[in-house]
Amino acid sequence: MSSSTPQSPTPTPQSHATRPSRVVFNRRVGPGWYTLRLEEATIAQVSRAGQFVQVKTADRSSFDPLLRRPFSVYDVDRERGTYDLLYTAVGRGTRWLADIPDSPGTMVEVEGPFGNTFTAPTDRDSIYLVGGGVGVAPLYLFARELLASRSALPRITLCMGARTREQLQGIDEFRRLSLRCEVATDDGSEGFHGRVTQLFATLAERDREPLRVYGCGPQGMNESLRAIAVERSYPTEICVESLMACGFGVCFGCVLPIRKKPGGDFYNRRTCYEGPVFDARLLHPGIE
Amino acid sequence: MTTPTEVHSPPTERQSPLATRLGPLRLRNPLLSASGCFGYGEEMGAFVDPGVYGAIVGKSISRLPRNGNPIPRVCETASGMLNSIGLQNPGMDAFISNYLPRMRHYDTVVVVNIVGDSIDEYVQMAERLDREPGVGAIELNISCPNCAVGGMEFGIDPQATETLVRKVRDCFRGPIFAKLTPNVTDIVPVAKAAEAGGADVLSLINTFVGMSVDWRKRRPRLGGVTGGLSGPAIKPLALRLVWLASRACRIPIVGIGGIMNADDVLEFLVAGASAVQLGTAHFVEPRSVPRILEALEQAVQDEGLDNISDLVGTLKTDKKPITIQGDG
Repeated sequence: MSSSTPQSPTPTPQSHATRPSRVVFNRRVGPGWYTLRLEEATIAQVSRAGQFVQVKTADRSSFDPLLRRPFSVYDVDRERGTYDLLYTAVGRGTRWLADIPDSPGTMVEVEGPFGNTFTAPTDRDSIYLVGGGVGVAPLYLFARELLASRSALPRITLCMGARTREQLQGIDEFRRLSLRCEVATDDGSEGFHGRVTQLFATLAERDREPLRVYGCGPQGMNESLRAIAVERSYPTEICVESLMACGFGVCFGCVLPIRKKPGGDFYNRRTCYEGPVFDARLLHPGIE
Repeated sequence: MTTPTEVHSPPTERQSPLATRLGPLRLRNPLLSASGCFGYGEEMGAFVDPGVYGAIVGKSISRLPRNGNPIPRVCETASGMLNSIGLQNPGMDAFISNYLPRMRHYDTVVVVNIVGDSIDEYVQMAERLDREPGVGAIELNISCPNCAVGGMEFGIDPQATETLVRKVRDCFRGPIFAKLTPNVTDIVPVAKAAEAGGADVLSLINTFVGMSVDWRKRRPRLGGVTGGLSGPAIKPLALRLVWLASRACRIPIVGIGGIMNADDVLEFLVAGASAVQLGTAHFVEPRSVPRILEALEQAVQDEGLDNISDLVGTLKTDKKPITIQGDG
């Protein structure tokens, strides 16, 4: 089914911002969780769900940390020319970001957007968004795109997973949209007690409509979703993550074994350039 | 008789203060892309016109396609990064039919980097490239730390280096760059061997072999266990090797290793490099080359020089050290 294979964008010089992005706010939204709103018209204009930006997380003339950090675009305001990133302060780069004042003005070097996008469902599809951790970021932008682009309100179910209730970050934003929100926590502190993919599998089984599934989460969640999707033949796209150096297809550092067509051979394909969104049938089993 | 080199070189403005001679090549400026950090130009075209470069060096091509090394392949280190890509590439046939045709249209010198498992493979590839228009030079990768056979095996042995370069010299008419490894006790014998074999240019250096460990998981951070260190962390090491080789060899040297800005470029030139390659800088700042070129023009003007090459090898080491008497 070629229509479900995500397409790589053709990179053009115009698609890449040449100016730094200006911080609007850098808000702490939960324990260790932040939303960074940046202003740069080009990135805000052209970014689509699934795409990511590469942020320099060091002072202007410093090269330590050396590599940029990739973040999925979480939300955009095309009129105001702003875009949002959702991140957790877990390493050197993200801790540097967390130290940016939560007030307007700081300039941040950002390249992008890079990568491909989720492909649109049909009007008949019952849409499932399955996310965990910061993986909910591209799903949120995708939900907003779907709600904005459809004449009839699409049927969207969000399945969000986290270890605990406190880690269910971004759920309030989803709840303000017109969609069904279901949550799963590992410790049972909110919603379904167990894995988000188990929750999804149960809900999907009861659904009588043709499904269309979009997922993004930690590697373990992605792998579990891939296995369910392949076993039950759900048309599914998964936004994968991988360690990256460049983010635009040059270094071949971020490859994963990925097929070019269902049932085909595996090739080391770049998650930044051919991805990060792939049809679940193309992904290699067992990568966690 | 015009040599193939002159035919392949785009015209350079003689008056340009950045115009650079690199052995038989005349380059627009001394900035080259380093192999493996510019692909074959296609993806980088989103950021920068390959024509602004003095030359571009493509990612290593082997005779047959290679899948490369297991993941994870990259890992950040202090002011640097380790990579264990393992020379993933489409192979010579696909390169010639799918990539070289586009590269021929770049308004710059195209250097094709090749890697082989054996001397025969290097020779076969060089013979093939000799017949292809649009190949400004070849660079012999005899220095990759990430492959089981070939690559660095040659570059750590002066005799093997000389033999390999000589056999390639016999079948390739254009300029030959030999890209050497720093993973040797003494780079001078290898550099001299490449020169004796007939190399036109020495590319110094490839990455330093290193590793990174996640002690909590008791695992290496790279799928290939070890990898090649690059970035600003290696610049002082690279400068020393360029300096040593430039004093021992007559052929020009292209300095490589952690170059991020114009000062870095000028340091390498003063230490003895005629030109430089930028690698890891592209990952961090894909538009570094046009930015650095502007700064270099300014620096040449500020120093009152006619041409940037006036700086090559101008390092002064004649100052007598101050010795202190005492029981220290």
